[in-house]
Amino acid sequence: MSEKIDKYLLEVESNLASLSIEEKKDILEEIQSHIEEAVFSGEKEEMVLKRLGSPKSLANAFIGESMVTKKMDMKHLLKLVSFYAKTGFSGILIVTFLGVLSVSLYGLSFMCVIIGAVLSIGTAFGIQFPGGLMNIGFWSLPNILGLPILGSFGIGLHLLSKYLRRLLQEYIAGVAKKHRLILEK
Amino acid sequence: MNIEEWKSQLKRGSLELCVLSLLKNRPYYGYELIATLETWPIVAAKENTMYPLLRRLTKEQFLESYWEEDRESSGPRRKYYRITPLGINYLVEMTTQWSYLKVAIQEIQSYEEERK
Repeated sequence: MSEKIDKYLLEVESNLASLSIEEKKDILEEIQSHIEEAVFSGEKEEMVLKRLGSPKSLANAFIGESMVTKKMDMKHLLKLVSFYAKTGFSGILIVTFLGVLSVSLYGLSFMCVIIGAVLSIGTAFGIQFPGGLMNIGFWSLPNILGLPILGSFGIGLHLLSKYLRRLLQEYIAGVAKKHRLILEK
Repeated sequence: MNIEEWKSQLKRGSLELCVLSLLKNRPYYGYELIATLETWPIVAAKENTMYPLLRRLTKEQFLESYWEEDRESSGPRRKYYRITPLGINYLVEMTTQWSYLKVAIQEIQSYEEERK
C-alpha cells in the first residue's frame, strides 16, 4: 500500500477518536479494503481518495451515522437514569472522599519530611524544640531522630496517597467505560 | 430549494430500500454495491454515504457482515454484507410503503377536483 493511502487512513483514524477501539478498527479495515478493491480494479489512487472525500468529512459521516443509531427507547432511558442516579450518588462520595484524602495525604507527606528535617538538623545544631517528638511511656524519642522517623512516616503517607489516587483513577475509568457501553448499546 | 437538494433528499430516503433490494438476491461487498448502484444515477451513493449506512443497517440487525475467507484469486480481502430475516421483514414493509407512495403520487399528479 502506498504512503498516500497510509497517510489518509491515519488521518481518518485520528478523526474517529470519539468512537470505541473496535469500531474504529472495523471502519478503517473497511475503508482500506475499499481502496484496495478500487485500485485493484484499475482506478487511480488519487481518484479513489478524492471520491472518499477529506479524511475529516469521511470520519464525520461515520460518526454522524453512529449517533443516529442511538435510539432512546424506554429501556435504554431507564438504564441511563439508573446509571446516573447510582454513579451520581456514589460518585459524589467516592470521588470527593478519595480525592480530598489523596490530596491531603500528599501534602502531609511533604510536611512530615520537612518537619523531620528541621527537628533533626536543628537538634544537631543545638536548638531546643518545645515538646518531645514522640512519647512512648516515660521514654521520649530524641529529636535528633526526627528526620528518619518522620521521613519514613512521610514516605508511607506518600505511598498511601498514590494508592488512593490510583483507586480514584480506576473508579473513574470504570464509570467512563460503563457510560460508554450504555450509550453504545 | 434547488433541484440538487431535492434529489439528494430523495436519494437519502430511498437508498436503504435500494441496498436491501439488491442484498435480498445475494451478498454484496461495499465497493460492488456502490458500483452497481451507479447504473442508476438518481440513487447512486458515494462511499461516505454507503459505508456508514451499511454499518447502521448492520447495527440494527437488518444486515450481517463477514470477511471473505481466503480468496482463490489474488486481490484484496472483501467484506460482504448479507440480509438477515429481520432485514427481509423490514424490506417487505418498505416495499409495501413504497408502492403506496408510488400510487399516491400517480393519483395526485392526475387528480382533478370535480367542479360544480
